[in-house]
Amino acid sequence: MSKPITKIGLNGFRGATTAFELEFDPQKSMTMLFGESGSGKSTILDAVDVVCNGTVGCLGDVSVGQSAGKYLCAIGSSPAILRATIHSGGESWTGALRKNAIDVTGPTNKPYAKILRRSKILELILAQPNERYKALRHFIDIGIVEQSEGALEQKINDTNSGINEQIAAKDRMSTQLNNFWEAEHRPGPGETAMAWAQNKVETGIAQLNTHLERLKAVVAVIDEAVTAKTQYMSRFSEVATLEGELAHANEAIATAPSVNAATAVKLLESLEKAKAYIEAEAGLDKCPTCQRPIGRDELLDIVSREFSQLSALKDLADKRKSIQKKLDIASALLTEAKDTLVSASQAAHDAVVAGDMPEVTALDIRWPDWTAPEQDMPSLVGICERLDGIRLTLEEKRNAAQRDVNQFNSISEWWRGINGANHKVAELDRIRQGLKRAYDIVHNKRVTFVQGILDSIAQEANRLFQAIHPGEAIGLERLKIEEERRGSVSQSGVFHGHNDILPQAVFSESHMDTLGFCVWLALAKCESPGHTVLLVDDIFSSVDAPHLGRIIDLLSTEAQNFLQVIVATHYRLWWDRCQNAQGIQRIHLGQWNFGHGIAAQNMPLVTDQLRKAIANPVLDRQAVSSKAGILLESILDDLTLLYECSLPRNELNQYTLGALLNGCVKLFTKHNLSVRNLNTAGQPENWQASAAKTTFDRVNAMLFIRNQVGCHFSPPGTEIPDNDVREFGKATIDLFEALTCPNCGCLASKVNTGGTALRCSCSKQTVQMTPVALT
Amino acid sequence: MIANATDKTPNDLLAEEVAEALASAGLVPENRKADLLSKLKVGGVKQEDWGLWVDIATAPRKPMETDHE
Repeated sequence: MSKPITKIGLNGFRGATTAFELEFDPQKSMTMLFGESGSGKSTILDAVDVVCNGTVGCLGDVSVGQSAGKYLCAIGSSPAILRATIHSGGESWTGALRKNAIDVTGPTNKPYAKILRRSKILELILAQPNERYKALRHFIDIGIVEQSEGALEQKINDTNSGINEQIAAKDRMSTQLNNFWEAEHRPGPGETAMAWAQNKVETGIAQLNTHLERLKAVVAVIDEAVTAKTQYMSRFSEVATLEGELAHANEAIATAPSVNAATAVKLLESLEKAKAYIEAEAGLDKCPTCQRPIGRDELLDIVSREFSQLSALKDLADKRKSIQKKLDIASALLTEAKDTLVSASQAAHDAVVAGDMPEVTALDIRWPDWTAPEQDMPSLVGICERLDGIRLTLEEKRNAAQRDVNQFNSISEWWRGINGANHKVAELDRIRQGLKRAYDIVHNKRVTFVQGILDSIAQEANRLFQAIHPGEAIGLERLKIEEERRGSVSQSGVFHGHNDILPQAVFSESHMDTLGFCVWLALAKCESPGHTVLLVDDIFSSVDAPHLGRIIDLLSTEAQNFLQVIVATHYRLWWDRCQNAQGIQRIHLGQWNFGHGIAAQNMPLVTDQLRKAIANPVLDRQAVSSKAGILLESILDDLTLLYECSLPRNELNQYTLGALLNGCVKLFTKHNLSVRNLNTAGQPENWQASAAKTTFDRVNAMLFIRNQVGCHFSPPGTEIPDNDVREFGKATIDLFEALTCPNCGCLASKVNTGGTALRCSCSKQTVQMTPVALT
Repeated sequence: MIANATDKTPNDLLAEEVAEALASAGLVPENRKADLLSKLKVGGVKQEDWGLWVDIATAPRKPMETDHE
């Protein structure tokens, strides 16, 4: 549970050149630090910021380099002694300088401080939309959910791609199917390619396959039969040729000289030897066998002639032998070819009979007796030749059947592919629709959620702004998440009946200041205000009296939402206006110098000061009269301003106390002032008529005391008894207390919800005045 | 609506709203809502998760299932 800061202790910290301590009254919802420039206000707030938030205070907003921390040390002071201590709820946290950075020690549950400096007041208002988003991100950061939303968006894109791929594939197949269908001259049934294809698929491929297989089988057996027939005919022809050659060789041998071959061979060998002998015997002149005289050349001629005759006979014998051998082989092959032809013919018979081909039927083939088909080979040859005659036709039919099967497969593939794609597209489309609906929900929820937060911030900021600028027809209209630009927040305002204007372009400087302040305050209220110490560092400098009064009222009211509010100002009007605000602790900072550093003093309420003076047995007559007069002027000035009382005009808008009193006579005559006390529980009781009119008359009757005793040397004044002076002071206090709320110390200055009365702005609302305006 | 006011982050709050809305719209099976919520809170809903949940939730119901209604 966070507790308010009760004390600050500084030493060697910025303006605190000497040890400095400042106590805060935890009973007061707001503390005002007043002092002229350079008195040490920012030093005190910086100490809270540094210790609670670990920052370098206002040095973070100026250019001092990387080691800003070292500038937190008071000039001329040793960094080693720098200390900034915050006390809260019986605990304390101390910041000390370590290597040019502040190191804070203490329990973990430090108070949380939020500070607004003059340099930052317009930051959010003037920021670019993306920078404004960053500033607001803490409140609207839903990036983690956005990641899942991104995945959902990507899933939709991927599903779209999947659908497009399926559609493209379907279109390709449809085009192919349609082209085919067109090429086939749009056959039926049905009027579409798909209807036609469906019919084909439903009919099935079995019949086509059977037809194709039959044709394939028939063509194949015919091929084999024709091949066998060709082979057979070739063998047959070869055998016939060889038989002719053999006959011719036999005939040649039969007409040759009668000698058997064996003898012929031996003779040939003898003749070869004799020829060789004669050729070698150059002087031979007689037959070496019979010794008959014969010339060598003649003998050689005889031998050569015999040799030639025997050699031709041998060639004939060799040739016949070769032919016989070939004939034997050819005959064997012919037998084999005959068997093959018979076998192929039988197979052809079986196939064409099973195939039931009209082309075969038309041939009216008379098939042989298969018990001895080899006995009628010419018949088989003839059958094969006739089958060969229809082979081409059957082959064409087979090819056509193959095309039909191929086409069926293609058509079937397209039809199934198209149907499959249609089914897949339908499935994906169903999922896509679901994903889109889901995305719309997620997206709208996010936008609405974020916009809701922004609306609540803007609404609160505008409510605060209107409290400062009532009836001025300007304000913050909306903070809006820019859907087209992720991470951007735009703002719009209203200006005298014109909506959707850019505040930074139209509002005056002072309006921008208060708007910036109100947005900041609204954000602070969003941020666990009950745990937040709010620091406002001299942000208003040139506010006129009416607006200042409203800002004081606003801060007094809003301070009750926060753990603690500490306001620093150099604005004396603000300080004076709060001189009797009971909910505000007023601390006056005196002139600073190196010697004593920051000088601070708690200032009691002006009524308390007056009471103390009255209670003194040794009466300070001049002090009582003077203080009473100033308090009287203060409250009558507020009243005449609030109710627009008639006063004699002057150039400087400065009025005497007498003039102010006269101006209020009508007010106190016509208006009813009611008050209600707070019970012991701090709750307001019923309204009762105030004694303000009677008290006003008492004060009016003794007004001369202020001038004669409090302001001037006046012999008649010396005649006035002390008790009269005391009575004047008491009457002034009574009048002040009759007119102001004991809780907030403020006048009844705000119109209530029903518009029937003026009341103070605090939560207790213990004073009201009716009617709301002087008529 | 504001995070610290409820000790929940804006992400947590939005995740709860989204999970409830998707389940109510019949876009995520009721028995997957807790899974969706936990994944939304850590940014862990993947493309496959979306595809699967939406597919299951939007799939046409079989006649046997509708007979009970």
